[in-house]
Amino acid sequence: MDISGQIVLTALMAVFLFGVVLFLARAADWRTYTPLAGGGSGIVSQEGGYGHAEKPAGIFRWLTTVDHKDIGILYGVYAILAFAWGGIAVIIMRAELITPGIDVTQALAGAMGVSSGQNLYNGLLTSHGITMLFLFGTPILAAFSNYLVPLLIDADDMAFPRINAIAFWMLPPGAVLIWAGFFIAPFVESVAPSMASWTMYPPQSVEQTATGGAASSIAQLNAGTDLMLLGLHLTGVSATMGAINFIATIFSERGPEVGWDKLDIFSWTILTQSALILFSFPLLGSALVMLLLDRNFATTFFTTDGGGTILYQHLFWFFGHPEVYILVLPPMGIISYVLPRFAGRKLFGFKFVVYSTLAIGVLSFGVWAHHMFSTGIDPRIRASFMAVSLAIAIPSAVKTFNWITTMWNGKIRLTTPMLYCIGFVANFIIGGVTGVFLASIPVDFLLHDTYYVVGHFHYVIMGAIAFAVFAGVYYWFPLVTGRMYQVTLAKAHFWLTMVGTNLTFFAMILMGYAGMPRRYATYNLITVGPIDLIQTMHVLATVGAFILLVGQIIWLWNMVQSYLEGPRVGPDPWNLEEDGVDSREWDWFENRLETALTDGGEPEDADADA
Amino acid sequence: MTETVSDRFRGRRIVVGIYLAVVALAGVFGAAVGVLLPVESGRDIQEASIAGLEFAVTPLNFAVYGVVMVGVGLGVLLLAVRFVSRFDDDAVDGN
Repeated sequence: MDISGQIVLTALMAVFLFGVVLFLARAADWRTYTPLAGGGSGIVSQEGGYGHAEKPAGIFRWLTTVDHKDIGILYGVYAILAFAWGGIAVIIMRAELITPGIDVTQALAGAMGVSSGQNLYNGLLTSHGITMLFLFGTPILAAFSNYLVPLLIDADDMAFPRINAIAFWMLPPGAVLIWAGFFIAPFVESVAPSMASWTMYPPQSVEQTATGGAASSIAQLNAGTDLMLLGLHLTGVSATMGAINFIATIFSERGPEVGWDKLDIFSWTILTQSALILFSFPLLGSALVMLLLDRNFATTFFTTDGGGTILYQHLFWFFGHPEVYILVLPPMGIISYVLPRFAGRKLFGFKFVVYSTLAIGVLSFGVWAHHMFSTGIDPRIRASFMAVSLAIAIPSAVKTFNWITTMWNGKIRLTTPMLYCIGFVANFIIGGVTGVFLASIPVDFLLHDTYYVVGHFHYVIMGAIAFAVFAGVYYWFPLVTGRMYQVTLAKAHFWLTMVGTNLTFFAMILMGYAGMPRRYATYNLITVGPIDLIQTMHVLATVGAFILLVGQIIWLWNMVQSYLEGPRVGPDPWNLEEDGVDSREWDWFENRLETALTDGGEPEDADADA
Repeated sequence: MTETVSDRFRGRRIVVGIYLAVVALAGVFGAAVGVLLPVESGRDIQEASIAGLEFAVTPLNFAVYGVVMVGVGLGVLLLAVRFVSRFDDDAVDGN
């Protein structure tokens, strides 16, 4: 096309975009959503009114909302979609691993435009890890914190409602970019899903082509990886903006009755998590930009004769290890918050649970090199990192101890959220103890890069973090929807998830003992344990994964159907007042029900949402 | 149907119940490791020892090992919980 043609196209595009802007500006009067008149200084928060009365109907409400509750729901829906993507990816991987050779992914590879079954497996593996950590884990916690923190601290909204909305709306394009390789691969031969794994270690992540080999020129590089890095960068910026917002909100928007001494345990963990995000995610962003420059502009940040590949690992894990605590601290907060409600009492040793949260936050920045014990770094450095890694078990154990003591002297009601809390504690002990062994250098040498590591961190991520998420989802389901879920389905979901988790991940721990290396699509050529035994373990793990799949389908069905048709609940659906353990968010709920009745008979959100 | 479970269990019954379940599970896991270690190629581990006490690597021995290790380890923790809970001002279950 000649130059004038391009200019005409550009001009047309500009006119079109201008039209879109005009349309959006007319479609909604943005000022109606300002939660506080006069720019949101945050001073006028004594009223406790949640001033979002005027919302447009339908899809525009969700596209334009700056209400923290709406944004919390958006985060939740987004995270569940990502959970489905990551879950389907791992189901395909687990199906592949039933047999030692390559079959399932080989059959799918052609249809998906990927050059081989192994490459597809590696692409799914990368996508599963990145999706579950960045697109499910972090956002689902943001769903809870966005919805609840302003209610729990008696604020009108977040400190910066628009930044809150911007932070969320960076995530969908981030996800599209991260998954882009899968969408483009069927149409463009030189593009494949990124196969760099979630750690994106150079030199592989810098040099890989779409067929898995090393590129000899920049033109041969797999653009799927570039798109993934850009998408990750977006999600990192989003998380950082969210974190700044939470720190500002918790520091400056607390109601007059919520002093630091009255701050609830969940908000404490969100505050600590936000501080961790603030200090660690910029590191990830920097490392990603350097990777992109190495790939596309021939810089030498991570080349052998430049900064070196170990430099990348230091930068990555200085982010990557705090990320573990970014993901686990708020779930610990949910457990510390929900578990006492169904033990009919206050949390035992509240202060020490807060102190241990802060201690974990500080220590988490001093353990990153335990991911690098086998890279040949200085043994003296290694030993100090081993010591700090072992030390972090202490505050974690303090929390576990407090949860158990809370139950010991309580009267327990085995509701679904409580079952998930108990499941969390049990799985967290297994995940934690297997981690203590890995922190020891000699044990790590034996088990590094085996399925033991995969089993260990999935006990924490699935067995603990996801369990706490489900505890929170069930506990606050009536708060958000005004309805109750179906108890039988919820109990089935719990038991399937508990059995599936332990079957899958304990089989992985055993496989690790037998020496099965992680990240492989096949095991017919391995030189470790006998293949029959390894295969038995893989089959058990796959059976567990399918049990988990069935459980999650039941859960999704339960959530959707109960949201539409579940019985309406009263102001205190959990009978918390009976034990004197009611809390601020249920007071807000009661207030909402009462004001909705005086308005005209129906809870305000239920029908508008449908 | 709403989930207003009215049955209340004494907290310590639940905690002790979980303790027993976990110890039993440790026996099952121990047996699995006992099956796995001798057949793992390259290492061929037939015997194990703790503090000079030698025993053959069999599923039964490792099940016993698992039960004893986890039973004692968590048992100490449980005794600590029992001790500390005397100083629990918010207890609702009596002492």
